[in-house]
Amino acid sequence: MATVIRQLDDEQLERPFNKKLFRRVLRYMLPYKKQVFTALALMSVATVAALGNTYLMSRAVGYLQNKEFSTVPFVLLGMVAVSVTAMLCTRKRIRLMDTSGRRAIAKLREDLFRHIQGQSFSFFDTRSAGKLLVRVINDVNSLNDLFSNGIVNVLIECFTLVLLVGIMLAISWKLTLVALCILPVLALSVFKLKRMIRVRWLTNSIKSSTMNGYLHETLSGMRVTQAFTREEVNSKTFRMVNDDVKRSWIKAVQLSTAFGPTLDLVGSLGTVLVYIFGVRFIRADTLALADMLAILWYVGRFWEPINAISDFYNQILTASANMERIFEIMDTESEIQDKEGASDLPPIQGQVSFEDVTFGYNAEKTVLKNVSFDIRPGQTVALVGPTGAGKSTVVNLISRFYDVTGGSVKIDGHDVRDVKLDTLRRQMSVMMQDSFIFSGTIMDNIRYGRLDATDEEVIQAAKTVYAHDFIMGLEKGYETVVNERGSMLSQGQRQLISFARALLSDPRILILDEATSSIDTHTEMLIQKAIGALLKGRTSFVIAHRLSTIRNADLIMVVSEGRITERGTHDELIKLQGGHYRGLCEAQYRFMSAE
Amino acid sequence: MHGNMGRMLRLFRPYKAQMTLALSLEVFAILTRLIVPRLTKMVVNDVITDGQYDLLYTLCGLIALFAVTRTLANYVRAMRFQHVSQNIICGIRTEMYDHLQEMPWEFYDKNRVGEIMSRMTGDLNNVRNFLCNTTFSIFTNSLCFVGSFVFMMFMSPEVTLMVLAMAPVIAIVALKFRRRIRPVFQDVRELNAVLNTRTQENLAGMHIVKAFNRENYEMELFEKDNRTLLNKNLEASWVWSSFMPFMDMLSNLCTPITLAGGALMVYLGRMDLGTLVGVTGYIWMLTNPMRQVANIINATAMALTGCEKVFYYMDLGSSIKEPENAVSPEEFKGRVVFDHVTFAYGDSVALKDICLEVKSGETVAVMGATGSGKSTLINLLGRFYDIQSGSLMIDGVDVRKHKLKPLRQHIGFVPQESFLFSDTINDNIRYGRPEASIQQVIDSARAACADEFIRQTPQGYDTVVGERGLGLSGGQRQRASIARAVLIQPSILVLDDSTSAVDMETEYEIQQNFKTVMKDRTTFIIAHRISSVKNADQIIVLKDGEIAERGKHKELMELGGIYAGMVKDQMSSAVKV
Repeated sequence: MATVIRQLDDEQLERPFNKKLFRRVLRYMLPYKKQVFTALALMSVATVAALGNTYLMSRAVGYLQNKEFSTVPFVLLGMVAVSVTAMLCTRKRIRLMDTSGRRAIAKLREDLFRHIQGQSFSFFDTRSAGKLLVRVINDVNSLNDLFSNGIVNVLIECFTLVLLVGIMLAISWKLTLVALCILPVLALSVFKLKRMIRVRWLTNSIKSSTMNGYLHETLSGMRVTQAFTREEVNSKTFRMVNDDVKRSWIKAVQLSTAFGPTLDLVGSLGTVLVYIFGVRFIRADTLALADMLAILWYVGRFWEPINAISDFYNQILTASANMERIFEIMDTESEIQDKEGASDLPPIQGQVSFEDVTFGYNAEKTVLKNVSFDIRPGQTVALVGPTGAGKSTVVNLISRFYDVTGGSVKIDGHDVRDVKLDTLRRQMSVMMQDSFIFSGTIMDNIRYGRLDATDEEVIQAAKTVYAHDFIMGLEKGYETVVNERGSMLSQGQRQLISFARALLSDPRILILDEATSSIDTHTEMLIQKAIGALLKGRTSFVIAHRLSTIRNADLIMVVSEGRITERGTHDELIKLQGGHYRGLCEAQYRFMSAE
Repeated sequence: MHGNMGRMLRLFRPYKAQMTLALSLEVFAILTRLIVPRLTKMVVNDVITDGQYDLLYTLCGLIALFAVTRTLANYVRAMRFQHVSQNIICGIRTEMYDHLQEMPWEFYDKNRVGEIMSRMTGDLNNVRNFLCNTTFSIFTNSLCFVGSFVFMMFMSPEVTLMVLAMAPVIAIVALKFRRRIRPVFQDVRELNAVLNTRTQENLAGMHIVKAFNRENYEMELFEKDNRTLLNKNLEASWVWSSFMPFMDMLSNLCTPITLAGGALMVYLGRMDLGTLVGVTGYIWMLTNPMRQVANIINATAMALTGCEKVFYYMDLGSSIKEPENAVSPEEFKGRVVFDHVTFAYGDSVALKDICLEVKSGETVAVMGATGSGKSTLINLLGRFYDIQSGSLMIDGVDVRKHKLKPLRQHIGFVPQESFLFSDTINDNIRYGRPEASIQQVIDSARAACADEFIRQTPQGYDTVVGERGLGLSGGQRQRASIARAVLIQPSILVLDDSTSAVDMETEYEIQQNFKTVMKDRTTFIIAHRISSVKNADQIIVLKDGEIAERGKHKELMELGGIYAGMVKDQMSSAVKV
């Protein structure tokens, strides 16, 4: 039995460092140049203070050893002063960097979101909403730490290292060299280990995602699982993915747990070295006790900057993957854009003509072939035909969700590609099969059609499409809060709301993709009446499934294999022996009445 | 709360030996750390001041020896903790999963998948963190604190007491910090969720956004949420920066305090230099546990709320269980009898006193308005819910006495929302019968009029569909889901409005196919289209949970009631040729 656990087909979690992308993100920090430099300065002060503290401590011991008791209090006061300074500088630094970094990231997120808003349908055809969401939220979030702290920290840590070595050399270059002979070991082990740890954690996080994916899916489909008694198989599979997670976790901690003890060991060995050589130098009178202690304590401070720098390295690799995904979107130009010098589309009558239109979603497959028609203002056109014949494509071209590959689409004589997109779409309204409901009140949902509409206008629109009665039947009427899943509303009710929304926007051209899903008879009657009200007085294109809609249309066009094969009124087409439309009507009638 | 804490700790019980080993190793490791400052003292006093240079190598040897053994002890200890906590958590997770698989549908009506997910990920992770890190942290920090206190007292009681005075200050600041930052972090999490939802909706409803030209409006809304989140984040960083550097400073100040005290003692001749240097080695070990107090309380609180929810799920018993003496009829023929069945979801009655007898091989159509109880009625068949009174017999045995698995295996269920898993079409269709051959899969797909569109997908039957695969249209999903039910060759086929997105011609074709493929099988069908139901052996019309009308098409037409009204409405939109 093949239990296929599909790995998340998701992108790589790490990418090599990309200087160009990095610079682009850095550009978002440009407005905060001043803050960043101030923060750097503050950090430098704090670093000097922290290192100075250790030095003062060793001096205190030195003065005590030499019985210079009167100097000691000043040294101690110095330590207090230094601690307070470090605290104040660090506080200010965190505030400056967080403010700048987070603001820059917020701006980046807004730019990304705005860019996505400007994309055409073909963009959304190839990218799932889930993936885009991850770009806007998670990918941007993971850049945050890098920009708020990472970059400044790594600069400071480098500075710390240099300063540290400088001070130590100044105190005793001989002992420093002895002590630092462990440094390469330390640095190397930290870097190597961190890298391996990182890779193992990545593996673990992939395994976890797989498990969560499996969990989410089987929970969502639990009803199916129970109905088909798949519990045992699923239980086995879950044990398997769960075990994978456990194993990868243990593999990761095997290394990451070794990290602390290893540092401890290396540090202790360094201490031993300093003792052995330090005491020898003290015996030879070339070193003071205080200096030995200073070196000893400074050696203990080495691992911190090294650790931070190796963290930064890992952070950069992850961030590179995030940046790449973000900029992949930012660099995708919308396929549908206003032409240079595009003019406003003046208020239209609603005349629509296709002139020899050819279209394909990609180069290989042509969906529409040389389609031409001319629709007078106010006409209702019903598009009929098998699934995939090109009905949706026809309506998508009218509102310029896609651009034609050949020929032209004209509205009141204006080519849709020559006018500004927003002036074009403002005058038309498109309703898709699934009636999308935003979370918010019903009032807000209808008002989405025209944001400045008054409550009265909203209610009037609802009344016109027969939605008012059921809305008033809800507990809070128009103020009832609904959401996307809209479990409170039935399919039919959602449709009525989206009708009201469209009516409110009062378009000259209306495009309606009738939902096929069946609705209880009462709501069905309301919807039929509502469609009648909606279509009145405007040019309408309906991808029709209801015979009532089709029959009432001024023009029926049968779309088949990318061409319009029949056109005419119901009465005309019904006479066409062997025609597609006639066949359709016959079949429907047969289902209705025949035994 | 205490009960849960006890229960969490009891999870360690099977691992007693490992835990004892781990904790003993930790005691050893801490002891070696506590000894080092004493060795430092000897280096300064005996070796450097008194000139006993031979001692140096012994001392250094000891330090090195301790370092090596401590490293090993720490590593073994940490890995033991990881193994134990992972085993516990994996155990809980599988137990929860098995448990969830048994839960009745009522549970899934009430609990969202997202919520259950966060129980099994976030909350469980908090419990793991407690078991693995916090329990250890409590142990080691207390030991560290007490140990360094004792060792320091031996060296210099006066200095020890001076440093100790700082300990409560640090602890109090740490606690105050926790109190201040917690609500802010909580707000940040919530605002993050708000922004997430906002974006998700925008993307899901993109065609509406575009159709109504609302890009700028959406941008404004997004910016508002984004800015609110930003400001909250900045507030968090403000609180953070007010406390963290301050706490660091307090810890740092312990050194000059120690030195001041020590210097005074040295000045008075009551302490030697080596002791002073040695004492400084304990400062961190004494003050750090104080800084950890807040973290420990935090993690414990999170684990307690987490485990409360986790245990709640583990303790939920499924109300639907087969009895000890469950039986299975020798042959499933699909005879169904509803005998005065009443069912309610909580307090709201969904079905009242339903009586219905269905012979083997009959087709029953269930009609009625939304919410009239149609789906409820058929969901009782597979015992996905338990009835409150009356009885429901399948092949002469009450469903509550049936063995659950064989019962459900004989019911082919096509739900209203056709859920497909992110797997190949092939595996989706044979979901209920994984051992089915490809030919059987294809035959079922043909019966459901799905074969044709499946062959047109990029990899045919091997095309991955579902959330992470190729998106199918509603009608295609429904047909795949019908094929899935056909494949198990059920004695009872249940179609819950499952051809709603399929066009009439295809629906008709499926019905024709069923005449041979589903011959002699009992069928329950919910539909709105008269065309789908009118040939049924029995048609029942539900109204407010009661059977309002029943009979054959003809009889109901003559009755002139609800059914006849529906037919009239639907016929009026049909066209005569």
